[in-house]
Amino acid sequence: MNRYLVRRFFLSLLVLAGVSVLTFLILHLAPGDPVYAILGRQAASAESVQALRASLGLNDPLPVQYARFLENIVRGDLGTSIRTDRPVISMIAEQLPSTIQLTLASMAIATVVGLFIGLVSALNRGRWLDRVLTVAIIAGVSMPTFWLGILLILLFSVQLRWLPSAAPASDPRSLILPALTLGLAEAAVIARIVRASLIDVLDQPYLMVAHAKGLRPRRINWRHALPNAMIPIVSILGLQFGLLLSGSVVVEALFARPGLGRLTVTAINSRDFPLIQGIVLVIAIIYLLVNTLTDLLYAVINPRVRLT
Amino acid sequence: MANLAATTAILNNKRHPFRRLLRQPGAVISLLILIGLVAATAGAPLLASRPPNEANPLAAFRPPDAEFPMGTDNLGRDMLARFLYGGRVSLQIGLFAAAIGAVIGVTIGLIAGYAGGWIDSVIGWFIEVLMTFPGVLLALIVVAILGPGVVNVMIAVGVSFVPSFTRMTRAAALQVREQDYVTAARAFGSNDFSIIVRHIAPNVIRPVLALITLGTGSAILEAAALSFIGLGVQPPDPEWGAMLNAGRAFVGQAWWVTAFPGLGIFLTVLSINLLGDALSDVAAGTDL
Repeated sequence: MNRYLVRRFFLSLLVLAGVSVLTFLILHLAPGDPVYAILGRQAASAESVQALRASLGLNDPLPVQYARFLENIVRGDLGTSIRTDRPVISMIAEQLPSTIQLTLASMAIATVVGLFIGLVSALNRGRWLDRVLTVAIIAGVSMPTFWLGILLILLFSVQLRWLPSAAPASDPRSLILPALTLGLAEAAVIARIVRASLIDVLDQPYLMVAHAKGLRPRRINWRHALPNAMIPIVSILGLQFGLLLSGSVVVEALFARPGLGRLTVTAINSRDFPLIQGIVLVIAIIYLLVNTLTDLLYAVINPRVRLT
Repeated sequence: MANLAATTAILNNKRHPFRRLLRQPGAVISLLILIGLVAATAGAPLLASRPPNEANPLAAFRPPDAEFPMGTDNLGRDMLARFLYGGRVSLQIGLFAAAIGAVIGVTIGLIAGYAGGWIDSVIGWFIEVLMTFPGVLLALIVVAILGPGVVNVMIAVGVSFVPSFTRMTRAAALQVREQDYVTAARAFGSNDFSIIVRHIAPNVIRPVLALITLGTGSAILEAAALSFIGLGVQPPDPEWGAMLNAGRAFVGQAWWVTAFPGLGIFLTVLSINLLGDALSDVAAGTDL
């Protein structure tokens, strides 16, 4: 187990190194001179170009710039936003809680709904209920989140008038529709995997033995089938977290909800490269952390795959 | 007995994967829907009686009727014309994006899976790094680099599918590489390029094709999402995602403004997913 931990830790570090290089390069991969990409070709005077070049340190060789980029990150300095002239780290810190809240709430919805539908579908394999649910699952997977959100607004805000489509972030009801939109879309993905995983387990010989021993079906399902079917599901939780985190970009735009997603779109539209780099790095690090944790959890509950 | 029948069926059917596909009702229905959508959007100039951007304030928010089968929007523009022309753009972006992702991803995957060793390790590490930018984030990074716009969104979505396509192809190529016929080809002195092209690629393509089909659906969703948040097609030009974004302010007044573009994306992706599932069944032989 210790060897696995060490190995996993170094693999994550290696990926993190790659992530930092790629994030650093975002500014330099933009076609043409990055200074013009930021300032816009027409508006830029020779002095403003020189000033920005100096303030971004673009006159130094690339490796020197990268070293400074890393050094600043380690010190918790993600640079200054070009548009607002404020530290990127504090702009992200302001928006992050709202996005994390949305991600966790939708993850809870996705997991509960997805597990339930997947289980009911698999346990009724081949019957009409399973057919209906399978159709619902594939429809859910094919549904654009932004259209689902509009339909939910139409139902709950316009027709039933139960929930506001947009509300101040302090109002807890403002979380319900966005979380439902993001959560239901992802629930279909989880349900699909749960169904496939459980059906796979239900066909295993040890369940035939359990039946032959005369165990009651309910006990077989809950004690023998479910725990084993859960193993692959744990391994995708990290992936789901990442998809929901990035899915917040669309849902925050739809519900006019503040958060990292909206900040990203503003940053891209205003070519605010330090802000873009900061957001990308923060999301990648969070995602990497969550994924490493799920991998460890996976190794704890499934001793078979400790070393790969 | 059942086993024997299944085996015989597989042997008899091995040469006709397309015919087997056509035996599945879900696949046939989705193929028909897709052909219908592609034909309708391709024939937009013939089917639409007005230009998609022609505003007519006097006819704003007309519900669907005989003159405007999909109604009109806030500017009185014909929603049918916008649906058809917009669908054209949505389908084009999605298909080109999936093609970009597939060509790059499959090529890299074949090389990694066949070469193994350090080449595979380096490619694997790079893919791992790209996968650390979850979901739509990788496409957003590319749009951030290239700037918003239709072509850039196409490239961005394409690039964002490279990691998953590479992984799938690599896994399939790794299995094929160990087959006796590959060893035989090597023993006969075939070079690496010809082994990849003549022996690995043809045997990898069937399972990978099913996954690429499913990826195309996701690519259409992702491209529409980027237009929805305002980074792809710019107004007044129609595109299903951009139309949903423009229409969401009026959901209370005019349901049809968002209903049809939403339905367009949904039906397209649903058909592609059903087709992809059927293709995987055919590739795995579970349809028999």
